[in-house]
Amino acid sequence: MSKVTIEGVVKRFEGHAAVAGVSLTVESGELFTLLGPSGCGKTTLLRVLAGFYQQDEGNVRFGDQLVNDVPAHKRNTGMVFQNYAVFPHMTVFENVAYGLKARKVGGQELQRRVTEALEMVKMANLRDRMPAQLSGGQQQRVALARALVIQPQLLLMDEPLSNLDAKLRIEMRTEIRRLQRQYGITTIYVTHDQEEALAISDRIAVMNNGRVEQVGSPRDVYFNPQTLFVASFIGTTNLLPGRVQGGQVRVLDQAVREVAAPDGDCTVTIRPEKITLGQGEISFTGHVEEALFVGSGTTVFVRTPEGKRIEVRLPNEVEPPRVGDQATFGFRRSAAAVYGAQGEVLA
Amino acid sequence: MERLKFWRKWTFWHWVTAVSLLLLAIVLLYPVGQLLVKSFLAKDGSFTLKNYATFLGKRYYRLALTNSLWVCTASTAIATALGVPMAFLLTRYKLPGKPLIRTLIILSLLSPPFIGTYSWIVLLGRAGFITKAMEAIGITMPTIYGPRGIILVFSLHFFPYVYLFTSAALQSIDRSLEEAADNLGVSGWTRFRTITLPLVLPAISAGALMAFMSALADFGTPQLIGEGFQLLPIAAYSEYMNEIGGNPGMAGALSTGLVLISTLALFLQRWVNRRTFTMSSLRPPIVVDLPLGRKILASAFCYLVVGVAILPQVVVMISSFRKAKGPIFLDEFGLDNYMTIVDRVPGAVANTFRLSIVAIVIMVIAGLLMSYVITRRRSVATAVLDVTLLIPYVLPGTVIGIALITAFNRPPLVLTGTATILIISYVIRKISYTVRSASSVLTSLDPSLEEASINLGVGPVASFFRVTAPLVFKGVMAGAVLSWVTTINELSSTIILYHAGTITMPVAIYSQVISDNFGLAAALSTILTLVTVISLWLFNRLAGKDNGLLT
Repeated sequence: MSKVTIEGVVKRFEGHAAVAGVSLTVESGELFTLLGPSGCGKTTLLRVLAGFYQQDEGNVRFGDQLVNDVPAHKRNTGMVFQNYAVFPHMTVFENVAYGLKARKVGGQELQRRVTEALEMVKMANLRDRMPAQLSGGQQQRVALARALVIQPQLLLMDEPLSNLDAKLRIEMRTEIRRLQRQYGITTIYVTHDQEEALAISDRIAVMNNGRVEQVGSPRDVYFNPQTLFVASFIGTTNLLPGRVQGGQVRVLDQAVREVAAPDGDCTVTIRPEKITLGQGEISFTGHVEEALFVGSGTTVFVRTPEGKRIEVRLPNEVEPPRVGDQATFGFRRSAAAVYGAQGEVLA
Repeated sequence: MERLKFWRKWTFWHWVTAVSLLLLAIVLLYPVGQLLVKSFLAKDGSFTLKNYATFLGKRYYRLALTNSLWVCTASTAIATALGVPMAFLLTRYKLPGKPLIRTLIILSLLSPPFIGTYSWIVLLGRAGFITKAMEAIGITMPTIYGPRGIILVFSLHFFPYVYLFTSAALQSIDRSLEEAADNLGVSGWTRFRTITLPLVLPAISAGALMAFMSALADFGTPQLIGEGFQLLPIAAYSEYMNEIGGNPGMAGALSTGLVLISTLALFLQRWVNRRTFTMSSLRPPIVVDLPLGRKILASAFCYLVVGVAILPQVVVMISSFRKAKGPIFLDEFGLDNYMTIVDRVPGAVANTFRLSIVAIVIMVIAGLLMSYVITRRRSVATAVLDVTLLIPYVLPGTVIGIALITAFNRPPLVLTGTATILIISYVIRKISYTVRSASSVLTSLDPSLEEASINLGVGPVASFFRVTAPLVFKGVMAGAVLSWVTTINELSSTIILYHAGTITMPVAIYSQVISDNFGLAAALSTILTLVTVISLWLFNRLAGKDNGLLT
């Protein structure tokens, strides 16, 4: 189990930098997630760690060892692929034993360790099945056992749940978290699903355009997004055009707060669940265009007189306004965040 | 330091690419290149366009060109006219005995055309069964010799290409496309003309192109049935044969003409299909039942076409068991024809297998490795490799034969008359089937399987052999069967490259027919056809139920 250090890694494809200078430290035993939209460079970075891509610049260290020139098959990482990559011509047992055989483990010990790993993922009774006879979730468990059985110093997971249906996804992510804690193994997890990332991670690095926008705990990135990109990517939020005038931020013609920034345009964000029906510290009145009951509450879309569409999430305890009516909504000043023209947070 | 880094990154796959390119440069690019260069050289070695002036100026050569063009165009047109309706009827309607019809279509394609030619002579030639029978009742049959016979054999032999391509495309049209047309109020003939036909047109033209190129390259058919009718492969062959002390440039010029026509046909087909689209069918079109009258008509058409196409094979098989005296088959049955194989053409059967087995082993191994670098290790070098492998596609066997023998008949590399030169010719001519099927399997195989193996601690090369190779092997073998079948039946380059010790069955059949020894030819043809049938059956087992050629 080791700490992973990534220093200024750049990976280019035909001149385009898929990873444009990333530095991160992943602590030993941590479940660290790379989160971002497709094409943000998260999978490329993972493949650099696995050794499938050679970075053009920068260093990668596992513990104290510099692994830049260590070929993929000697890095001792365990990778779980998006499509499982379970060898279709081998039984479940043979799949899990594959990496151990490559490490010259044989006989009793091989049997014991494979059996242990299969028990761990609750697949011991299916050890002689061929992959074609397994469901997607079962194949995922085999892939997990196969990666864990070699006792890798680092577990790499590339969108491991994206091919599963919604229900199984939630079950498997709990399972992955349980196994990761049990083994105490340093894990780097790649996903584009922000809910999955929030649920499973110790820490998250939000990536965009080959760069890291913010690193922090799930709560941190959700409640204190440091950039406009993070604010809009994690969860749902409303983006309202605002202005800085003499250190004063104004949105919807009302003063929000004082900031230390020059005059100019800015963006004020407010999450739908932070807006309530009725007057607040900041208030607006608008035309209710849509009210969608979604079970845990009602999502209301309001059109302000300026033509801005705002999403409001009302809890079930509140009677939602009727579609077509005019209604007034409000939110607290402290619930809003302010971002400058470059997307940087203004404090 | 930089150099050290370069060599560390120089992997097994770089070696595969480099060695493949080097070998192809020696056995393909160099021979073909020097033949092209020779066509521009006078006897004293100076540059000249005289060969090309002769080619276009002399009636003898110009006839070869114009004959080749019109005979192949006519054959392709008839092949298309037979293949397209067959494909449509067999994919869209319930007809009795469909699997049998399909099997017979494939069989008629994969047996060599010169065997078909020869049995048409047995049927309709001067001493043919039908000719004799008709004469007995006072009817004189029109002659089968000359262009008429060539077109007959080409059309019947190459229509399966059009059929195969078209029916594959018809089955990949999703039902919803035609349903959408129906829904918009367009049906029947208009729907066929505006939706179905445009969607399968690329496939029809691809099949027609195959038919045209195969007809253009075919040497055996016109040689046997043409009786002096001049075509390009024949002209190139005789030029080369006469040339031993004569003019090597003329054979080169004629070969260049052949290659140019093939290439032009290829580009014409690409141009016709310049608007590309892809189709993926979730629900193939429904197979409907026809009213009885139409069903009988449709079935009669299909059975008539395959019946006539397969007739030569049947005739050859039956006559191989009849005693023969020169070109005349007697009414006594026996195994005499088979007995004479050992005396008359010793080694032909063994040679065919020996050479083809060596060639196929090389094709499978080299084909698998090359298709891997082409699909998985993309670079400028592998793109060059990919394009180089397309070159044999436009090279008729006669041209490859002449190119190889003129390239390797003097030091440093003398291969004339060896088994090696035949194997080289087979490998470069037929490896594309193996490479193409291996590439398509590799493309559909997820690269992460191999990465998983590497990740688990097995080196990249070992991972290829332990994970990728076993998984694509079946698909590679399926393509290899096609390479194999066409290799054991190869005539047009073997006829130029063989030597007394390396005579093969197709050459033996050809020379026995030329010397009017029909009985022995029939016996050899039957053996060749049986091997082909067994190989195809094996192919079907390998390719699995869904992908088999024979259903």
